[in-house]
Amino acid sequence: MELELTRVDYTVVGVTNSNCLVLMPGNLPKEQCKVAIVDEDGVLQVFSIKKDEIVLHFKTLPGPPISSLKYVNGSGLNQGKIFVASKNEVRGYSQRGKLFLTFDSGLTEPISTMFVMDNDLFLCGKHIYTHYRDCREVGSYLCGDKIVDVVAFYSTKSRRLMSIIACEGRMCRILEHARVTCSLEVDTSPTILHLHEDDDSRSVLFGTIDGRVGILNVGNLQAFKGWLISNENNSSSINCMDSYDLNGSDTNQLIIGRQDGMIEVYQLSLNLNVEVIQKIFSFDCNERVTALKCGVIGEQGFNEILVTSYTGRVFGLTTQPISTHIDNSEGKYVFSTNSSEKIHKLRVDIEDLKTKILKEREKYQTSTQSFYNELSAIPLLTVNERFILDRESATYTLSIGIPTPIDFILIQCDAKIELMDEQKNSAVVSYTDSKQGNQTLVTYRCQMNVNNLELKVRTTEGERGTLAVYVTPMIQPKCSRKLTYDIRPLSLHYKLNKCDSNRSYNILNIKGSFSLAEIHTWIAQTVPQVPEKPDLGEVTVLSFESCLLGTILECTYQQGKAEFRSDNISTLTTLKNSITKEATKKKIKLEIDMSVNDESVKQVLLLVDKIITNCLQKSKELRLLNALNEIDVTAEESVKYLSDEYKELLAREENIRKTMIGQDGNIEILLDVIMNIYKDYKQIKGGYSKQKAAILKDALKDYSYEKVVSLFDHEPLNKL
Amino acid sequence: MDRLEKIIRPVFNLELDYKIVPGLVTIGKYDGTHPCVTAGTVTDKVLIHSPHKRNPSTVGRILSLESNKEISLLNINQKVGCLTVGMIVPDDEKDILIVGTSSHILAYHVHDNKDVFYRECPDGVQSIAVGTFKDSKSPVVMVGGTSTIHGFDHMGNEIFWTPVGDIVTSVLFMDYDKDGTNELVVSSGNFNITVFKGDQRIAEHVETEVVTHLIALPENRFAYSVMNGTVGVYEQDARLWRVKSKHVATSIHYYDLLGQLNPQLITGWSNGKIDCRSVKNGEVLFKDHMGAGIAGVVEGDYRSVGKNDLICVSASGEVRGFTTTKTLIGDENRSENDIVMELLNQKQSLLMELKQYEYNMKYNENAMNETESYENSGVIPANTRLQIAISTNSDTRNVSPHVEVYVATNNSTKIRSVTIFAEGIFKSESHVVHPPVSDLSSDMMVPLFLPKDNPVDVHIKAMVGYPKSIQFHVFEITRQLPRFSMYALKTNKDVLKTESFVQFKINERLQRICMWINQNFLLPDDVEFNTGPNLIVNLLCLRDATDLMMQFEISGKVTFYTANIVLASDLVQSLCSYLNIDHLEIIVEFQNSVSIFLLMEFNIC
Repeated sequence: MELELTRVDYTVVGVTNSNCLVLMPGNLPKEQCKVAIVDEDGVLQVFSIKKDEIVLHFKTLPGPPISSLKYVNGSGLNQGKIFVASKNEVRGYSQRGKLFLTFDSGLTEPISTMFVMDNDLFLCGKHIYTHYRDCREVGSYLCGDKIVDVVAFYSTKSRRLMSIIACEGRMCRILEHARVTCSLEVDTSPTILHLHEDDDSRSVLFGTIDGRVGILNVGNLQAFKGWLISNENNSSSINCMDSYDLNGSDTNQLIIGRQDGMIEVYQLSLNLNVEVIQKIFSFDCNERVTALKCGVIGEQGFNEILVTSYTGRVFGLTTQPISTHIDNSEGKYVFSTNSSEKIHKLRVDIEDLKTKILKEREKYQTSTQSFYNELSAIPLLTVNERFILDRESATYTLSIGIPTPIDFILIQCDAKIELMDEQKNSAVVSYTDSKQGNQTLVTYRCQMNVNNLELKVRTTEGERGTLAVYVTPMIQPKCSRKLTYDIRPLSLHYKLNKCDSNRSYNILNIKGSFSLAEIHTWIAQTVPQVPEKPDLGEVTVLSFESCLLGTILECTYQQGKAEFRSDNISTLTTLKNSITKEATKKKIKLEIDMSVNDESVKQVLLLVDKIITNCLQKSKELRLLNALNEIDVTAEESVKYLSDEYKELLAREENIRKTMIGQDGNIEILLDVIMNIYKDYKQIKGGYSKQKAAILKDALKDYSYEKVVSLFDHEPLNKL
Repeated sequence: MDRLEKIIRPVFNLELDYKIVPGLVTIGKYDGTHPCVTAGTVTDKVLIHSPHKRNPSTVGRILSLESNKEISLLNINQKVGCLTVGMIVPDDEKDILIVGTSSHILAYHVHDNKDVFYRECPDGVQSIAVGTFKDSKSPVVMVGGTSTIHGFDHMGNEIFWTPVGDIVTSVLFMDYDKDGTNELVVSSGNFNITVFKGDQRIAEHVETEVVTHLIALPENRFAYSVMNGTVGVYEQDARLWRVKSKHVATSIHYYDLLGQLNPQLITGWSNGKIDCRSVKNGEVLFKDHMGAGIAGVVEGDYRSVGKNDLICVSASGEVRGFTTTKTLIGDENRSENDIVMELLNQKQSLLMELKQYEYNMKYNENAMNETESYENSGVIPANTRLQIAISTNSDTRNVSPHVEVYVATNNSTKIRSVTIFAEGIFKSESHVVHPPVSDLSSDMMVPLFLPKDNPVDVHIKAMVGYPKSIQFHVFEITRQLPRFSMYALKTNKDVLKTESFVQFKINERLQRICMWINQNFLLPDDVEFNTGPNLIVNLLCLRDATDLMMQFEISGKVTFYTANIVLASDLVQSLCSYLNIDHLEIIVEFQNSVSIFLLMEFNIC
């Protein structure tokens, strides 16, 4: 069953974030809802729509940014209540705009997410989760990870109050009485939690940063149940979800909004452990979707998805058919008087603004001529940015979004990086061959009306560096916002929650007069995804895996002592270099001891070999395919005469070509890895010389595993 | 937009099952009535798709496929460079297929299965066009080679020849100057678009990269595409618009897709995008995407409905047809929501700007109470100004001689970075200077190396703030560098005149010539002429350190001494266009060659 929805634009508000929108249903099921929206300007506004026009009920004055907005349904005589969280304060409003509650949480961190249920209030800062009942604290939990979202509900079985927090470190934690009862590990970082309710069944869904939706089993099993939506077709982060029956099929659909502007509706049934899922609608609004809610909004009797975008656009996707506006005899739109009025009003608004701005511009101009000590201050440009490791391709995805169109973006980096072409962005790329310590200087000049840019960045392990991104919007007076990202020496590692100990490890032991905080910082400066705080226990253990090779790094450390184990010797060498550098800065003496396991080197080479062989195989197939195409095998009659191998190859052609996109250069990277292992291994074992390295480099031109291993083995220490 | 994409749907879709070379797509009515898409395959065959053919013939060059009766192949056995069709045989209404290879041209009568002519072209075949030209009654096959253009009649006899000077990438017949007869518009490897009337050049447009395609548009306009991803439209010597993309346009065509009165420009891109733009201003009105890069866009009555469809062919052999669709676009009948959306967009950006000023005012009122150091958030004194100076620098100690852009602020603010956007002078379109934090200062020097003697617009964007700022003010300045920027005034007096020179006589006051010099050169001070028998300007070319001496005598005799014949001709052309001279007699004396006497003719439009 396909769904047909039409876009209707309502208004603009300030920059919005997720949890910025709620709907307040009317008294009758098909009656229009009131809409409440908060934004970064700190404004809460409540409006409804009458005859295509916005009727504002109330609007608060600007203040500090509001991070979360929740609504509690009224029952009986009790009116529904609106709660907003801003900084570390929660305010409650009645539907008419009367402030009935101001509650200072007393938290040291600003509130980032909030959940309200009856008399229970759940507030989360970056690391602190606190549960209040009737505004009295009943429990709190300190989390090492960054908390991204919180939900709470009464368990259907035990009738106990449970809450779930989603943490950036790929973990969802179930809490009861502010104590973790269960930690559910998931593949990637979750972004939001959503309670999908349908009749009496309830499931907890979560969206991930790489565009998947998963289900948590919070009933008896308490485990991660599986993926509901995979990210094969779209790996753009899930920003919001809602459940609603849009098409009258008697089951609720799942509606999701993504970072890249896609809004999708899925028909699903979660009953009896059978997940039937079917996409019935998708729409690209080309802007980051921050929140969406479904209900009857614009026109009585018609369901609608109300969407807010990062830039503050508020629009609906309504089930009201568009044909009501088309005069069939001429095929032209007939303007309803309502909307021509709306357009007229907008035009007047814009004219007003223009004259106002003209005046302001002049004022600004005169201030630049003045001799007094006037200042020119431009508010800090808000940027919605992300720089995350994509494990699949072993690259970082940099995504930048601003509320106004981008003029150009300048990228500067002092470490070796490679910027890869993204199909989706149409910006004109321009490289500068640079000196002055810049490895990379690139400008991306955006096309008209583009608010976002997404790039893939390939880093090289071993070097520390800083990636600086200067974002320059079109808007006057012109400014450029600088964003910086650390490229860590082991940038291609990601955190593991469990570690495979069935490998041969090399061991690096470091001793010295360093504190726990110091060693923790050093590690955090070397490896990504290190939690902000070390474990409170005696020994902290962290495990990482390289997404390029699959090698493991395990760090066990405490005050004055640290042990690192890895099957890849280069990883340890890089770690050692990085830590010594930091320690030298602080003038702390370190005792370093490294023991090498020869077996591990072979194992890693075998790992690399597997990947290289695969790569070589693929590029060989590609060459073969190109050759086959040369001789016109696409024509049916010639295919008949081909061997089965070639036929099979042709059948896989499309697939092969698809996987090869963005793969060029991969082999070089892997060969560099071998060179590094060789260098590190030989330097520890002794007997490293540039000539021998050159021999290996030469040998790598025509790669074979045996040859490489023999060169590694060739002259063990005792022969020298 | 979104709704449009729902309304404009392909009217047919088919697969050729052959990989097509981008650019090698045309369409011809070989039997006089039925159109056939014709394309060059990657295996150097010419594929003819004839969905309307009844009895395929299998004699002569053509080979019909067993599996697909609609497709026939023509073996060329040489690399196919270009394909076109045209009715070149007098009194025959059938299209003739013309195939160009690196050394030959073949005119082939597909319907009768015979060669019309086949001849060698020693200069190569880079581009072909068929049309009427000058006073010729019958069509001419115009062939662009590596440095010349040849015109052939239907027998293959050469009837026209003219030199171009570089690879001819595209040839076009159109009425450029609205005189009712066709001119020849030619794009060449030296980034130029040249217009010929007969063998006379009447106009020249300089682009920033090699122009790859030219097509004629109604109302005496023409569209062009450039290798760097630019597409644009000219109306005579005025460029109406141009856009640049990171992809390359592989095919351009015009067709009324949206049922407006005027046809739109359809562009096929290397990434598979097809877009439909307004000819007047380049606004995108519709876009679609095919699975592979677009190989060509043509039009023909492919469904036998009496009206031409727009036919797009992709490199993987997919063919998609579109037809004119009445849509609800145009200002008076666009949907109300589109208008609302656009107005909201406008309102939003205005609100944003207003917010900036309001913030600025508030900040100033409160400046006394600000505790945080303002340097971090990029607050700068309001009277900060960016000064700029552009000069030549022939100092060869560190870098080779260059044109130098010097920017400086008027206070203690630092210049974090300077980005210069300009076309044709960098490897790509921008050049960035971003010194390490320790080397930041209030001024900055940017060397520019201009490869050619063309005027260049440089857009300078400087980020001004403090070393630790996380936001910077951006100062924007646009300057035009004069055409002969890469020539510096010589300081030492011992000038050796080269033996080579051009000499001519003009009747013009030396004061006006001074104005020309000051406008076209980058000299530290304006040249002035007070008294004396003549005005001598001694210059040094920054590219190759050769001398240029310009001598203007009071009698009107002008001599340019230079060993560079191209420079000499550029100078003469520039001076003549400045002084509105269209006829000039020139004596040219170049070393190792006999002196020639030239009569140059200019048409300055």
